[in-house]
Amino acid sequence: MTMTSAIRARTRRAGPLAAVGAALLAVSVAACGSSSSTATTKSDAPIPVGAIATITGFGNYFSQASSGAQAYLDYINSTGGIGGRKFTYTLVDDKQTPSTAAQDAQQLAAAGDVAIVGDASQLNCEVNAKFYAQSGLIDIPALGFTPPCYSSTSISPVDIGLFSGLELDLVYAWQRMHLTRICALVPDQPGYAVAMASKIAAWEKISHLKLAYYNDTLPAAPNYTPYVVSMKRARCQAVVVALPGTVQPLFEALGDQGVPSMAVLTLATSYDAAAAQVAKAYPKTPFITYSQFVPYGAATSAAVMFRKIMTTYKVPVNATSEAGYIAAEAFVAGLKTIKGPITRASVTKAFEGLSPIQVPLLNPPYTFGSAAAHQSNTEGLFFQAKDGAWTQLSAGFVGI
Amino acid sequence: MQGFVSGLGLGGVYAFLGVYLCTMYRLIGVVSLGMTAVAGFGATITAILHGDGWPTAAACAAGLGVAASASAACGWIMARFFAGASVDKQSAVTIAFLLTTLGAAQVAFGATVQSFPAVIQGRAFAIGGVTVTSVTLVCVAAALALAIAVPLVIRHTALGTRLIAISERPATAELLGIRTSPVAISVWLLGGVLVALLLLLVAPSIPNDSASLALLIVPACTAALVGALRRLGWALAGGLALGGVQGSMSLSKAWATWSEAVPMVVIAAVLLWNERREVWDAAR
Repeated sequence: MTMTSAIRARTRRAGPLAAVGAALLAVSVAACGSSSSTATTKSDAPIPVGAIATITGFGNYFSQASSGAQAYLDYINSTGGIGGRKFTYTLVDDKQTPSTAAQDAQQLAAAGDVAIVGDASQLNCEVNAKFYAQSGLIDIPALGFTPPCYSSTSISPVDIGLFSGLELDLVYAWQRMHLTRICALVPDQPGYAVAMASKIAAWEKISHLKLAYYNDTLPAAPNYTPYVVSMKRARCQAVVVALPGTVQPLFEALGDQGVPSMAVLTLATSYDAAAAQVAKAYPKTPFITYSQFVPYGAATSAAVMFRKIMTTYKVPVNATSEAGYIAAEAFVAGLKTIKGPITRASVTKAFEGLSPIQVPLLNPPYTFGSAAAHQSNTEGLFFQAKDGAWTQLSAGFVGI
Repeated sequence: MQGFVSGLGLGGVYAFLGVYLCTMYRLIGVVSLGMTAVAGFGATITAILHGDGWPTAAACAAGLGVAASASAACGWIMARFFAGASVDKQSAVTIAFLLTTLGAAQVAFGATVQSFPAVIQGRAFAIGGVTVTSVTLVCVAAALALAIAVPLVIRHTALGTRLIAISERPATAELLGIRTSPVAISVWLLGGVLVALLLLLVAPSIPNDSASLALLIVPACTAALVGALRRLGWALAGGLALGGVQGSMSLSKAWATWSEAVPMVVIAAVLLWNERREVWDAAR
């Protein structure tokens, strides 16, 4: 028998076996899938929860939010879990790739996760919103980066987000700082222009003002000098900057071009010690931001508990980990409203019918519900950087 | 006009880096694509130490020391293992330096924003209502000095002759008793110091996270290619023009999105232009 005919013969013999094997495989996969969708309901079986974050690649700083969520769930486990069941938390990496983010969501769903909690991925909402709705999975992001995070039935972040954050800064500059010539710089990202434009329109409606200068074409890491020259020409009194990352180049450009007194307002991601230190070398430029939660350094019992848990589980104490912690807190608070077994279906039903719940470190109540869009958090406590530290400006939370 | 002048700050950086890349190629026959990543790593060390309370001078010295050591290590690897290798292979090795340094920076520094000390401050003069800073003047002056000094050293000194020999005929240079490795490593070390020093000067006024500093190699290569890796004056002009054009485009809503793509367009255009004779000859 020649090699080729031997191969053909083996193939013919293998054909039926392969077919049976494939069928058996399909049946077992279907069985796994079906068992995971109803989830394990044994009284001591763990409650599987997942999250997607950018762990490798740039932007991995925000994965600390997922670490904060995991720390809170580990703490709940240490107190006995929920109804005798402890949590397992699976964190997967989107590698800053849409296809990987999609695979991650499918992996978590196939593994039987009852919910996605504390995610911090710039791709997750954009890529997976429809999949979550189809799979009956709810998602409580710590940080929502893109418009679909706030306009999907199955997703309700705990943070304010870039878009409402911009509006909040505009409201603060107009209402509390009594400024009339306000400018804004926004990054050039897909979907941002329309979302930002709607927030600016909402602000213009209540303030009866127009932005003195607005540019929504900034690259991720811009040379600020051309924009400062334009803002100087427009006589801006303050600029709202909706870009993450350092603002030191902006401070330098303001000083170089002779407008150091132009106030700079940024988003909640700036509320950390490092950003206040950067501003220390530029005392002439008011640098203002807000904490979108009860400040993590506050003396309240909830903030003390947060710091203690983060320290216990070796997670950095900052506003990013606080976001994940709050997402997990909101999730656990929602679970406590479930009277029967905790499964994906019961979790989704509970959150779709959720009445607003108080979460200690979140100022407004957390909401989910069955609406097409969710925006629980619309308030911030404002601070200004002075001598390398954040000094509280507003007496209480300012809202939009 | 204002947009163009606004972009000269970055243009000065591109000009210096482009001139230095051409210089490095002329002296040791290598284009180091990891140059800005390694120097940026050292500069970030300076920022961290300064933030921890170190005096500016001490923090700068430490950062420059790290950049020099890392650059010398890259030079040693290149001289020891890839001395006679093709340009393609050597370029690939420098890409490995870039990626390794970027990874190390991610692990060491994360994404925490750093505050870089302002080594030079002050405004020089204004053009069309836009202030040109002292830092921009220093960058352009340094690029000009390099562009003038290097050809003089090469043409009129024994050191220059040795360096050209190493660049063009390394094996022959060795046979003639010129110790190529120490000279090559010295060029790498000096380059690390100069580029790190440049980054320390400009870091407060440009995007200064590790990735942004490393990616300055792209416009630097653009400027170097405008000079065909040999003509330092053209590289200087190319760098300044690139910064100015990007500054102009950033103020136009129609063109702003494309400003980051200008280096790629210029690189493609230069490479196609350089190959035109071969294509036309083949067509004939």
